[in-house]
Amino acid sequence: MSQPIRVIRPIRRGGPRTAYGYVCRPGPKSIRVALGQLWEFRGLLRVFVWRDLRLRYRNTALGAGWNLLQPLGYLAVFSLVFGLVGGQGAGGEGAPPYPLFLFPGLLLWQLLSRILSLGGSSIDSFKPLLSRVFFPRLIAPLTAVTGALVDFGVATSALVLLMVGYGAWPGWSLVTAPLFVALTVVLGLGVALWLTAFDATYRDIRHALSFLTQMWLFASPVVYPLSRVPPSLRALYFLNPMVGALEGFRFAIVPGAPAPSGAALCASAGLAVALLVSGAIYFNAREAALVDDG
Amino acid sequence: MQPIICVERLGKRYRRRGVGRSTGADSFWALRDVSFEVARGEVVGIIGANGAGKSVLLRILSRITDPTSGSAWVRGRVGSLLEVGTGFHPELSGRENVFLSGAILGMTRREIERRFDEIIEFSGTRDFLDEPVKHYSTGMTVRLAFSVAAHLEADVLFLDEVWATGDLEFRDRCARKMRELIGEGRTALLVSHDLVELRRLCRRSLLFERGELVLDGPTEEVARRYTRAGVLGDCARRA
Repeated sequence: MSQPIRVIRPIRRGGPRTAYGYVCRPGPKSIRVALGQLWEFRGLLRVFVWRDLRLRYRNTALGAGWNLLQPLGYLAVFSLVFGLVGGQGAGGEGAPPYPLFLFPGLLLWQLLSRILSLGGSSIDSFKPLLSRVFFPRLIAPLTAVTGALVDFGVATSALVLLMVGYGAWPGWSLVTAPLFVALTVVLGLGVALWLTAFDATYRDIRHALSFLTQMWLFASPVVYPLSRVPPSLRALYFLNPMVGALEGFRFAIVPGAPAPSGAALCASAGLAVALLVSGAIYFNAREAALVDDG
Repeated sequence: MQPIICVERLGKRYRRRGVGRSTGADSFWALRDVSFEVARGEVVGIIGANGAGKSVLLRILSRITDPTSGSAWVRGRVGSLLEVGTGFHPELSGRENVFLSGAILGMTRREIERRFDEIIEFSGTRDFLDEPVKHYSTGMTVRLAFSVAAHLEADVLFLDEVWATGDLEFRDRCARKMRELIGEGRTALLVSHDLVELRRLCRRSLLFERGELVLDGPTEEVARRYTRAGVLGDCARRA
């Protein structure tokens, strides 16, 4: 080497104190650094969400209308099947009509399953980009989640139509609705982080995913009310974190729906947060390998 | 003067999957024990045969992959262009792709808007702005992609043979643009096999062989050593 290297002062893990700049070193970065990078690249998240929405509905005749058709189709099928076979699906006196009972749950479920299917394969679908340019890997699952949320927002217009059709006006409990949507997002993102970190290495995940989501649907009070679950099984049933979210969302939207039990809510929130935190830590630890294993 | 890029004993080891496990041959060093500094405003060429570690170095410095050992830091805003067309999507229009790839390369929306006309002008694709890029010729795509990247407002540029594609006239324009960018006091690391171009752009160059930095000096000297090192065939093909 023609020039001797001067000894430079060691740089702290956070990097040199300039507006821009960074340090490259081995090993996973701290969660604090990861969150800082996420904030720095927030504009890119918006661009990716825009790109995905644009691509998803490009060359489709109905465009975003698919967001309404899908849950409406499920609504028709389930109403028919459970209306014929199960008699009064929602059960009990003074209960809301079955479609009105069913639809909010279906919408929330669609949100969750979108987050899982898009988020679960997000690292894989971003891989060509991630191997050419730097941005926080967390952007990939977050793009999927945000896209699913936008779709959910569009789909709620069908819910509004349905409620107007039945002349059902939600009460004050409506203000709690965002809480239960947030609960679903936290839960979905937590699971998606685990899934996508696995999926990048083991493709088995994607084959199992749609089947598992379907199983989960029937283990959740979407098409049937919680009251149909035998009390002796309730404690076990509440371990399904979607129970609290679904019961809560229905309570927020549908007049006459019972308030969710505290036990179910606590279990849901606790599990969702635990999954998100552990998922983020696992994702961050695996981050470097996600691209190198390519 | 404070360096703007500092690389200290940087190393990158890749694992070979399934090959020679437990015999010690299950991994290899793509980059080993590399140290150098670059001062503000310096344009440094990176020379070496295929697989010498040039691209790995730029990938680490661009944060795409983490080093296995050592460390490096970069001060200032970094623009990294390791492949032309990063972030381009064939289904989207030329206009949309400018915003998409600009954002991916690190430009803010406002910066892209401010320089949009310049970008389009330079690329010469104005008439096809609202066509999907999949209908573009390869050359046109490359023009537009390079044009976005050339308008990055970065202090430090990492470039990997970006002018290797495109027709003669556009290559010439790219080279001129590069010189212009460099003239504005930017710091740059250029990977290229085009020794003529490197001699013109960079005063200093680094020579890599099998993952190691073997020579750090004036481009003239480095190029001579590289040519002598038995890569004559490669150069002859390019001449």
